[in-house]
Amino acid sequence: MSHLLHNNPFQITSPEDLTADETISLFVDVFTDFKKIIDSGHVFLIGPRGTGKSMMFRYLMPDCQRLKNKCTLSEIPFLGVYVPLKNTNFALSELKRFEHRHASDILNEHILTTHFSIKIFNTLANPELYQGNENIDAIKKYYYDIFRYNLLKVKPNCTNYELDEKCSITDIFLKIAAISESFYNEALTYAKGLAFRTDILPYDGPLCDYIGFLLPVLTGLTKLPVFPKGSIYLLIDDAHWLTETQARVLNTWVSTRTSRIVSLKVSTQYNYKTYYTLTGATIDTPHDYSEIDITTIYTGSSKSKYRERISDIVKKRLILFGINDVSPEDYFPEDVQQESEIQRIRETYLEKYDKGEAKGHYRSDDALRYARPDFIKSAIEQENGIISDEDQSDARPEFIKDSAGKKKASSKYSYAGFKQLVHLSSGIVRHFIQPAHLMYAETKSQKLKEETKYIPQTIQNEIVREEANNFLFTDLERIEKEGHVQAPPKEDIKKLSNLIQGLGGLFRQILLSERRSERRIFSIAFSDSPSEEAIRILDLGIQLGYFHKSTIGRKDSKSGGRTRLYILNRRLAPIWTLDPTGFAGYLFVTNSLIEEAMQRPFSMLRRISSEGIPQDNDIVQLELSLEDEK
Amino acid sequence: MYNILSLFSAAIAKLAGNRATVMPKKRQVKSKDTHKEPNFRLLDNERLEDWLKKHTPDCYPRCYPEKGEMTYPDRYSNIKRALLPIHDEVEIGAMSAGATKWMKELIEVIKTIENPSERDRKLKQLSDSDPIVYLNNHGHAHVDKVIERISEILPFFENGHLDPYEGFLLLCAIQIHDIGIVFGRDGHERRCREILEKECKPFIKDNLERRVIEELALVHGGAFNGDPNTIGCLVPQRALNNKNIRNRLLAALLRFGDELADDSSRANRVGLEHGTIQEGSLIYHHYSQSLHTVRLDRENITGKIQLELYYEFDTNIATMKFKKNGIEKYLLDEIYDRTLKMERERRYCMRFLTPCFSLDKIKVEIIIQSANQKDPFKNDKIQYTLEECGYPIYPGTGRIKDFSADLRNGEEEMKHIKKEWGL
Repeated sequence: MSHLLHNNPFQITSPEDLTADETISLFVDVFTDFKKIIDSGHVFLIGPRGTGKSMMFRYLMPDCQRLKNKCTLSEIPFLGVYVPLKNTNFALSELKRFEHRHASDILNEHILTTHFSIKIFNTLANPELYQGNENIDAIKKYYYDIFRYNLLKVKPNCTNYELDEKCSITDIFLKIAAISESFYNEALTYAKGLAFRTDILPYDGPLCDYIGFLLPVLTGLTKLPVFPKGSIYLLIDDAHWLTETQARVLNTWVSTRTSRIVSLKVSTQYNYKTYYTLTGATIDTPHDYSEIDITTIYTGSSKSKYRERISDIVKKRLILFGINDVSPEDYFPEDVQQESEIQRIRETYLEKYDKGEAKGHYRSDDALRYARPDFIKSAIEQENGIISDEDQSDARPEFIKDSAGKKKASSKYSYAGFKQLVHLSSGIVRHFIQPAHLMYAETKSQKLKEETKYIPQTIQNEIVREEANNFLFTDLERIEKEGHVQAPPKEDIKKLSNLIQGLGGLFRQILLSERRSERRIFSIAFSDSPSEEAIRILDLGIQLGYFHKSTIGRKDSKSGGRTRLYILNRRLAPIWTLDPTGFAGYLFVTNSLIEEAMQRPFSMLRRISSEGIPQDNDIVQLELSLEDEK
Repeated sequence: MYNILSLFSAAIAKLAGNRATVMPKKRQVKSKDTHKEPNFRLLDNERLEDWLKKHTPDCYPRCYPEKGEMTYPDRYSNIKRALLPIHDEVEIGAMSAGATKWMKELIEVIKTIENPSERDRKLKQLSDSDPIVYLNNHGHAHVDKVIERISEILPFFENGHLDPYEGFLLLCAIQIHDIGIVFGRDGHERRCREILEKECKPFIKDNLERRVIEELALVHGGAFNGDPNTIGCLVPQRALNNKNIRNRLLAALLRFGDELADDSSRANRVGLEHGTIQEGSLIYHHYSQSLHTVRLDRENITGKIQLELYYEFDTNIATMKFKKNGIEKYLLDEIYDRTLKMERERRYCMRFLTPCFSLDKIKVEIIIQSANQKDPFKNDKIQYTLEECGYPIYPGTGRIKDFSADLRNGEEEMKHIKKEWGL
């Protein structure tokens, strides 16, 4: 059993804390889906938390690449250096004071450059990368001819930059990192010194920049025999933590198009501040960089690939944990009774088709489209989940509440089964691993002495339902309370919460409705122009992972125009007992409906319930995909 | 009336020995001023350095004379004084650097090439390259000329007049823009930091302020990371010492002022008369010598501003072929090339100077005078105007890759989609 996964096969560990061995053993190669990451060139890797961005970067670091390729450092295809931007001092309020006052772009570039330099040379100082000290002379020459030469341009007349005669490769790179750190600290100390002053103090410290300092220093590295012949990949993680000025600095580096020597691989969530450079130009794809949106890839045409990835991850983790010969489907079994009932309904639809009574074009269309919703509907009706006025006063949706002390309404439908869990994770690996971790812990606590060979379907169902509630309520409340500098305004969080609850309730009403050609709705598109506020709140939802975005043909367009499509995160499906296995249709909505949902979601639902839900012509069916039910 | 006056002035200038003359300018009555700071407008015939001194301390970033801090005009005066000895050495330094580099290359060839014929070929190539260029003036006289040219441009500003602090930064940048040549011509734009650090630090203590001045100075030529669009690499504007500084505008002023400062005051007349300038450098001095008048003027009819360049030289010079970069060329061809370059610079710098200042065309007049004493009034006059006119040829249809080689054309995009999406 792996030391890493000694308690739980679905232990979540920060990639930064993993050893090379652990990374190799846990990582599932996804680069066939993201080829541009391993090719030379600047890349923006965009996706919400938990999509595996940091893990990809960890895998590209030289210790892992050496292990994976079973070769020396100079033989790996590129030199990847991990540069995390989270937990830095970049958003210091002292630095913010420079904005619109005193050359904040120059100072911020210096801070970024020296931070990168610290990370790069601390990585290169790892003695395990090298086979002894055999290239020490070349690296000493590099230190004096390249690093110190560029250093003197930044800080003339500096002393104490001589190397010890008996120094090792590690000593040299640690020295460079230490010098970089002293430069970094000088700027931060200066920035802090400006606190509580209205006048500007002169800055007498060094000023490093990318073109004048970091690039020549890195170019020098690529010529050393100990390092690979390919370019250096700076694996810049969590770039959404940068301030706007810092993002502009980074974009300016991207625009310099130096990827032959240094490729910038930038991971970010959706709230990256800007794509403008310091010069006021924008960086464009594919001219300046390639863009990869992980969720678009995994919720789009590559859904099956995503299921394969999750399957591989589960298999790897189970084997590492010592559970062999168990498939992910067997480890996360479905509710057999429920699935056989759905199968029975499916067969009824097939019989109808054979009798010529079906709506669908192909024989399996209606079976795929209506069997599961029919089952969910009957499960809900059996539980008779009626909305009470009393319940509506509370922020929580009525559907998930106990009704007069009875069993939870609509909880009869089970979300158990590997395939459903994959669908519920909505293209985000962590949304699978995290509930799986809780499921294992819960199972273990119930069977203290027994080996856990599978997760009971009841536990699976309970955990995903709990996780859905936590995702919508606890997580949003936490974001609302956090109050850090980059936190969104409280009012926007409230509107987002309202919007999600309004849309979830509406999708449920459609699911339960009669005679709809499509009842499995999880997405919306605007039939008119959305207001700025609606876009802002939906973008916030995308940023926080509650929505994915795509585009779809305009309703009123005969000429191929397109409009944005907002897809609710499937992780939320259990809250309203929605069918997570397929997004067969989407709903065209007006801006006024979205505005109403943001302000008064429950009165909107009551109104729709009494006035009637949107007509078929507002609902668009997507082409059925067999993957949906696979 | 004005044109007659101009001609008269030009004739006077010629009689005075072809000395560089800047014509007094008379501007037409301008449309209503829209600039925000009317007090900051530079007056006709006012020098930028004098303008700097006339503003009160509160027009500059806060400083504390009672704590021994210098006012900004005093800081500039001190910097100018401190750099004077280096300016005196610029051309000699460049020659010395060129000679040293050449010697190193010679030694390298002698040491490393063993094959005698190959070595002779390489040595001949080196001796033909004439690397020790005796530059025309790049010292304090040139700095003064750049300031003079910019002082002529600024009164034409329609709006957005320089703030005194911008004026300070610009003047400091002018002082150091060519000073890196003291280390040699190659990449001289980037060498000014060493002198800025050494000589100017006592007067400009803030490294951020020094960095801004350096940036303004180093984009006056050359390339930045391989890109000749050096001004475009600058931040358009930024806050410095709580004031808004228009970097690109200042850099464009310096760059264009430098371009206009290449007139007869820059030639070494003594060297030309006594034949002491070596062959490879003669053309630079003759070019400067021939450009006797540089003038900005507003057209009577359209009200547009134009630049007028007047060249004059005699047939003794016109018939000579001068060595330049391994080829031989007439001075007339050099003037054509230089005026075309000036037009490129005009178009380039105007991107950053509009809407404050818009120079629309360059009018060139070249007079080749007979050297025959018996027929002194015989001459040949060549005139042309450089401006943007006609329907643009660029960007050409079907040439999207001229903008970015990375953009895929229709065929390539379809291949890309099919490959990526597995269609």
